[in-house]
Amino acid sequence: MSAFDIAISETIWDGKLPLQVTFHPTESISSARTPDPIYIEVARLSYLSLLTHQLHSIYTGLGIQTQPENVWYDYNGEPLKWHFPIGLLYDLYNFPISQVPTFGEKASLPWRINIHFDEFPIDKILRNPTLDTTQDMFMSMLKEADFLRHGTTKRVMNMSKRDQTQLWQSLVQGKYSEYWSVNKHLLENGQLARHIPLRLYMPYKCPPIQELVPGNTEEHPLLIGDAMTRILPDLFPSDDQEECDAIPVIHGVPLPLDTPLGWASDNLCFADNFLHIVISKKGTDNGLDT
Amino acid sequence: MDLINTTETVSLEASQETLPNADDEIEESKPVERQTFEQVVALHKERNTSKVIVRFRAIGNAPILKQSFYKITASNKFQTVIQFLRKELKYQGSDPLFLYINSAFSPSPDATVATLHKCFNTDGHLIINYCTTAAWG
Repeated sequence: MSAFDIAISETIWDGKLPLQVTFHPTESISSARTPDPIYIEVARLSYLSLLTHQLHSIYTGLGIQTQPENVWYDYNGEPLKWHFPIGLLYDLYNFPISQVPTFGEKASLPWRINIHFDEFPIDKILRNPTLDTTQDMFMSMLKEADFLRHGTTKRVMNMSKRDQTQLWQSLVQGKYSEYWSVNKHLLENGQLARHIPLRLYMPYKCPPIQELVPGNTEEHPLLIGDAMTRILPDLFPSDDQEECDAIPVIHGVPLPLDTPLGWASDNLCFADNFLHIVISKKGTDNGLDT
Repeated sequence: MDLINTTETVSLEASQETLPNADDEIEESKPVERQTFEQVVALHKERNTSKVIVRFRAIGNAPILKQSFYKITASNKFQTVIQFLRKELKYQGSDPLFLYINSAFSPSPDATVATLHKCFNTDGHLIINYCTTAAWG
């Protein structure tokens, strides 16, 4: 792996989002009154199903029975995908849906989302958002990332049961050093990655975009801008970076196009070892020209 | 784990004729002028009606299909593939069935077949292994 910067990965790990979680009881949920919103800080790398786990005891204390497999969240009426990292969801949705999201607009915090305990929208989001399912999907993403990087999933498959549990539990509990003591073995390579685990996300319910992006070429180290031009040539023309109509955003931060791709993959990936990048429309006067 | 949306209709068909080169079908024509942000989003949301070839391979004690090659519309989600295979094998919702790409990983049920085929095809075929016990985690 290329230069691993602990200060950066620690900062990303510590990235938090303040949430306001509001519950509007429906007729089928019996409750004496509408509870006040809950304010809670969550890790950007975490998942909504882990939040459900945290909120369970609070709602139980309020006399509201919750079943994790039926709990879902929405923002502005749009059901939120529980298998996406929360920070990714925020970066993707934190602008009014009716408008073109322009990076640089100040979104108001806390992020105001709604929680639901029934009428699960099975046509919009995956079913069964339990801790076990989330862990299964997380492990599948790790394997896909391993397969893209190395052409096999040996690194994940050869992990001991104890290490697998530690990796997941350290993410659930937010323990950075325990997580990285296991995850570093998945990234360590000694050679360049075959392909970079990378997904691009655009607004307006656009499906995620994933393409094979080589880890390197013989001529020169690939940059984020090269990957963007390869996947979205209309928004990132190769000849003139000034003419770009969009900005890649990760962890709430605009990503300079001259960032080396291999370095980004090692240092800026989410807990599943993927670079999940939101493509945001560039504003005309946001001062973020990169 | 049961993530399948059972309301969606299955639209796979058996592939009878000689297998075409699937890569030819998904190529898009190059636009003359650069497209705007909104046009790019619209293009990616467009239903990809081209067909790709999937090849099923049974692992372990899993029952074998009568034929292993199928053509499937690229815009379908992977959950449609799961659902199709369950129907073909006459598996009930509660019977365990695990699907993997390239004997390596299980994609998310909401991944599109187009993306999986583009990133993980082998000689133009998307190879899907299936088994009744978890073979690769």
